[in-house]
Amino acid sequence: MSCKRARNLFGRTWDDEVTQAEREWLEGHFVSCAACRAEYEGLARTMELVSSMPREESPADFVERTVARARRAATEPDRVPGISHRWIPITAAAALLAVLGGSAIQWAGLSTAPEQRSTTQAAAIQQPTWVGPAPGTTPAAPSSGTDEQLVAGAATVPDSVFNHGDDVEFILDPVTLRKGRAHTTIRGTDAPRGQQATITF
Amino acid sequence: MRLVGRRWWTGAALLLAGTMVLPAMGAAQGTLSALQTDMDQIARRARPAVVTVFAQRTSKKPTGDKRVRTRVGSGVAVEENGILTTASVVLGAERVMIRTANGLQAEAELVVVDPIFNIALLRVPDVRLPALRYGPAHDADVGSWVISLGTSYGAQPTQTVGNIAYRYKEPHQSLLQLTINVYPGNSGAAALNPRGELIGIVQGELSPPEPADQDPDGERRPGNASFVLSAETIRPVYEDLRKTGHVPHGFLGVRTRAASVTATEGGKRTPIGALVESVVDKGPAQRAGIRPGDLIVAYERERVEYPEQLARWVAATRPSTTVDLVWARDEVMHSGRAVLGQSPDPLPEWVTSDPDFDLPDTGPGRISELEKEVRRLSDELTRMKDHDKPQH
Repeated sequence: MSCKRARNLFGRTWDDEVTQAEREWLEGHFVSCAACRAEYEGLARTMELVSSMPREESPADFVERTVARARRAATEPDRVPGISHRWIPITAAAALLAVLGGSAIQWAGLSTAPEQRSTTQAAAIQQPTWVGPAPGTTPAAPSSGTDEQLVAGAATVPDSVFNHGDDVEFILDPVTLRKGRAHTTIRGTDAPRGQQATITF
Repeated sequence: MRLVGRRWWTGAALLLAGTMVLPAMGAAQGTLSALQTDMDQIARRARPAVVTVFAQRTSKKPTGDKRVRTRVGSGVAVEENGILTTASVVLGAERVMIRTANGLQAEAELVVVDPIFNIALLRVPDVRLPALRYGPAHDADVGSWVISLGTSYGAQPTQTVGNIAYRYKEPHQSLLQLTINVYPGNSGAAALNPRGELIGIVQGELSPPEPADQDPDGERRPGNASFVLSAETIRPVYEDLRKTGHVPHGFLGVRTRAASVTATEGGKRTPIGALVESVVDKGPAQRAGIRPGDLIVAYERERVEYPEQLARWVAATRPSTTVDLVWARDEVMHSGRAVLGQSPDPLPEWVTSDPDFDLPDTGPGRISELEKEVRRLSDELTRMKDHDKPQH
């Protein structure tokens, strides 16, 4: 009988809802009953493990709905009178392991997905291919020295282009905004603009 | 027994919460990872279609020596050996080359260049490229996500992600403003939707603000703004370029000059439209009822300020299109419709390109060179004056 009373106090003890007298009684019972102490410790470890997991927002009314259903269930006759409460921590631990295992698989899947996908994609992505005459089949290596011109007849871009010297201009057109209108100024054109424009079109 | 039931339900609730929360936590933490993965996939798939474009032209130095200049931009493969880039990159080029993402370098043929739309079509017979598909027009709505792929210094790839912030819709063409950074060399780069389809070609970035005292409107300018020509505008132009080798431009048949009014305070001049000096006999404008002396103030329900603006809109409109015009005559507004003709020249007369791109060099070297020349001429002039002085 005292063991049953003790186990009935486990939940409220964990929730710190027992009176001082009940707590002292339970501690006294643990001294004399190793089985109850072991069972409570098992429950405590499970609960600690669950509560140590990162928290995430659940639906706004989740807690209310769960508590309401739990209360309704509590007022009804016990539908599982035969079940032994010692299965609770075991069931909880098993479910927790299942959840953790599932999460681990999910995390592993997330971490490996990009590589797997990229490997798959690498095969699927079509790359530019050379279909011209044989001499140009290999990419030309940047030429050495200070050659300032593209070599006639050979598809070779000199180093000077990559060094963006004085004779190399990297294009990015200036766009002007005026009264809610955007206009791209195209380099190399000399279109008349503004007050001096007299044009035929 | 009630306590046993309560504990059971508490345990079940905790387990249920754990079961629900853990996948949610995984999903939340995986969202960014998934986003990055998706972006990576889009870039990987589209990158082979993006090339670096090198356009070479030769000009003469004042000393008579030849000077080779290279413009570097980006390009996008829209067919197996067809590349779209901007006119700015290749206009006036004698030789064009491309470099693919996997390092192939090839000569490109400049098929056609259109400065009105700032588009050029290149043909690369020696390389087979994976072409990008065009995205649907609704993917270019404000707020849509955009990925830009191009190349910059050292032909290194650039990749930025952002949104369409604004759509500048002008008659028969539209420019999209993006919330992404673009870099020198990105002119002609690809703007993609989240499915990796082409929704535009990068044109450039917002020009630096003018000093406050020179900025006539004192407008605030957005930072980090970049602009792309929408695929909606590009696609029909590209089809014309591909099929006929040129883009047919509209023709109104008017000769106009700028008109403005001066405000009483501050003397600020406000442009008010395109003043018609003459009309082409039996041309579209004349048939619509426009006469010399009329002031064209609206085209396709858009306010006209400058002749150049109107000329650009007309050129961007396909021939045979019926357009709405509003003009003022003797302080009375008139409106009518004109059926545009086709510009007789492949490029409208008012777009005059400098074929040699021999733009004035204003660099420090050139200034120093000119200073020396001025000093030399000044000394020469002094000697000549001294020589001409009467000898006593």
